Amino acid sequence: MNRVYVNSIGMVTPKGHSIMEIVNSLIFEKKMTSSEENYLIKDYSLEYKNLNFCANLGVNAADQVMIKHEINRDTQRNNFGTFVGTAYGGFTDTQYHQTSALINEGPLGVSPGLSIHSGFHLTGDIIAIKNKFEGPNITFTSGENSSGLAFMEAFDQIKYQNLEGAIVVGTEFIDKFISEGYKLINNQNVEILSSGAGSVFLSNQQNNLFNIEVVTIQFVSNFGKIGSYSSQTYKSISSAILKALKDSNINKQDIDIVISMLGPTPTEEIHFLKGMKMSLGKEFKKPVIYPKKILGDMLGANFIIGAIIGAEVLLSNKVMLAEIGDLKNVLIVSSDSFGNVVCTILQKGAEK
Amino acid sequence: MIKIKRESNIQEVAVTGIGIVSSIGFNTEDFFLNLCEGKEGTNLISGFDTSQYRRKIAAQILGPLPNKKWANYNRVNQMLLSAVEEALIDSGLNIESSSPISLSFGTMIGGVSELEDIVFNDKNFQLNNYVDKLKYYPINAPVDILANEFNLKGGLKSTVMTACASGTTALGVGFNWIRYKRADIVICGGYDIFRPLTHLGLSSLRIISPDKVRPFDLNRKGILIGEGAGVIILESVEHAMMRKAKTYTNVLGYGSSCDANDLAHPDGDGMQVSMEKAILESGLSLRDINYINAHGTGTLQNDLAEARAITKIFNKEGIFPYVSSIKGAIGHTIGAAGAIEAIATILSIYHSKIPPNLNVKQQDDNCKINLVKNKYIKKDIKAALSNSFGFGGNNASIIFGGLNE
Repeated sequence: MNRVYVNSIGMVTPKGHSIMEIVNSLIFEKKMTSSEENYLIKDYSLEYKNLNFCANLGVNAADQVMIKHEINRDTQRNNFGTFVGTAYGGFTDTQYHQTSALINEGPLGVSPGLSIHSGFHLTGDIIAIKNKFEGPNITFTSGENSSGLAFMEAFDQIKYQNLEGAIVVGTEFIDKFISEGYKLINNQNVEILSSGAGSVFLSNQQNNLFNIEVVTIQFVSNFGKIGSYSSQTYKSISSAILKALKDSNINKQDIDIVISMLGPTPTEEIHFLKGMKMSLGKEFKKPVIYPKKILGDMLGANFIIGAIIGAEVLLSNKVMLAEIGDLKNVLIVSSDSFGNVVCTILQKGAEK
Repeated sequence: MIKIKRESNIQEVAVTGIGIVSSIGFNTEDFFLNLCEGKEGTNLISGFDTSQYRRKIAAQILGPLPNKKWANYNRVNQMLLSAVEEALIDSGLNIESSSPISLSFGTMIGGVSELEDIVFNDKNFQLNNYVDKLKYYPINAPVDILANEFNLKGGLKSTVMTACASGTTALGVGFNWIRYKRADIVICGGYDIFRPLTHLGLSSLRIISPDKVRPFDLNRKGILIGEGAGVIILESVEHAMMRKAKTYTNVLGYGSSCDANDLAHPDGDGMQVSMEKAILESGLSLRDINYINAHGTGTLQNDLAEARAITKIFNKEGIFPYVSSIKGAIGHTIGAAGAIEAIATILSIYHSKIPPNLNVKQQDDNCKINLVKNKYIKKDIKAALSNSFGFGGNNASIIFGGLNE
């Protein structure tokens, strides 16, 4: 079996497009005020402006990673895969245009170009083409766990020696339809949604910049109710954390920091805290970061954003403004309301 | 041939249940019987005004769906739930006492087209009049509904989309979960419904046939959009033996690749890689593979590229496995295609019977494959390979074979 390492990270968010900008936002808790603020991300490359916004964001995030991460040109490209997670994949926007065209112009109005570009898988296709990655190219469309499942699949493929490396991307573009839909379902503006994308490069090789290993990733689904929180949500969170600790053989006292990709709403935070208390105990007092409070809810991209922030925290030894010594293990938890949870542990300083 | 290092500490995987809803049968028995008898599930498009459509044929499921108890759900959910129920009964699994059951499904459309249909039909459409439909809109909603209806807890749950390879990719994801000991039982498959925008979009690309689907025929003119759900229960051989389950066959290998060169024009190289990866993982020799269930869409480019890829792998070794595509019978069921075609492959092994490639008058000379033309053949099959390829250059291949004794 291979060990799996993080080699490079990249992000495109409403709070900036460099790790430093985003960490500064977290440090100074520049909370956003409304979803609208986050629909349109500014000042990022429009090289891919012909793609839908979701793919555009995802490819931009992947570019950040690939600029930093050189792959030997002699390497067999079918040993590298592309794994993408997105809940809506920019589909709502193209669906709106195609539906309107059909209603207003009849069948001839349906665009061939948009038909090819409407698939959720467009982000992965473009990334694979751009980097000539001829290994698997899989897009996970599993709601808020999408990028978590993409990360897990890439991890397994590298761990079990099917691949040497993989790019993992989470991307989401929040348009007016998604925003309106969430407001209607929740009957109030409780969700602060945000467009954004994150990307990591995973590899069986350590590199000099990133001495970070992915020691485990676990998924638990104790299904509760469709579209609402139930006791199963926090039970799943607890089970996932315990599974991750068991699989990695890490004691709960050795977790230095927790990144919760729940938290913009009080309900989410309550479920997370309950789940954490059930698994790590009341006595667990290590810092917890809630990036969604600052960056917004990026749905399918949430997990990867958490993983990127986890990696950055390990590298910088900083939690918000405080330097808190040498951090070794970070626990990252992401969940949807139904009780589907992805949980990973990143570790710094792994021996080769 | 590419090289893969095989990990030895893995679980073997068996097929212990199957279920289907298709345009030629609402259960696996009818489906396979009709498939081998050459029945075609194609027809004039029903339920939509096609007066302005350039192409008016599809492979829809006509008439009411088999099970009324899920009538409150939208059509795609009903199809999926029916197929899952059949597969669960077939497997003899006791949900309460078995290991946690995981779910891995592929789809292109899911239930997202239900709102489209409403928009087409309601001239005063306002989203807030359809709030109850919104929670079924996300593409992963059918899998959540499935978990809810059958009370499936504790396992993994995923929805993938790799265009027309989605169904096979979902099987591959589930297969790997068992092999890598993340799960003992995974309900896998694919589902999709006929959607006017899919039909019209592909029609605008000039790849919808005016009448029939003729894979690998000289005069092939394109695809017909189908619909359906295919469900396969994968189980670790150890778990299946422990509960003395009936086993159809085993999953021996899975491979996937990306062309990484063009969104819509395959050259066959990526297809070859995905087949070679699956063969290598299976540990089989080329001679062990007696049948290939081809993606065989009936388009000029796909069939040519796929035939070339098969030829490059097999023919140069003097091996000519039987090949057929079942899309002449059920059309292209998009996200369901890989799963339904995998079921046809599994049943081919189980019944020693290879379904025919329909509507062949003159095989394309450029497709030098051993095509099973128009009539089924009886044949004991040691192992069989099922291919799925999609837009974006997404390729997936899976190999079944070997009975669990």
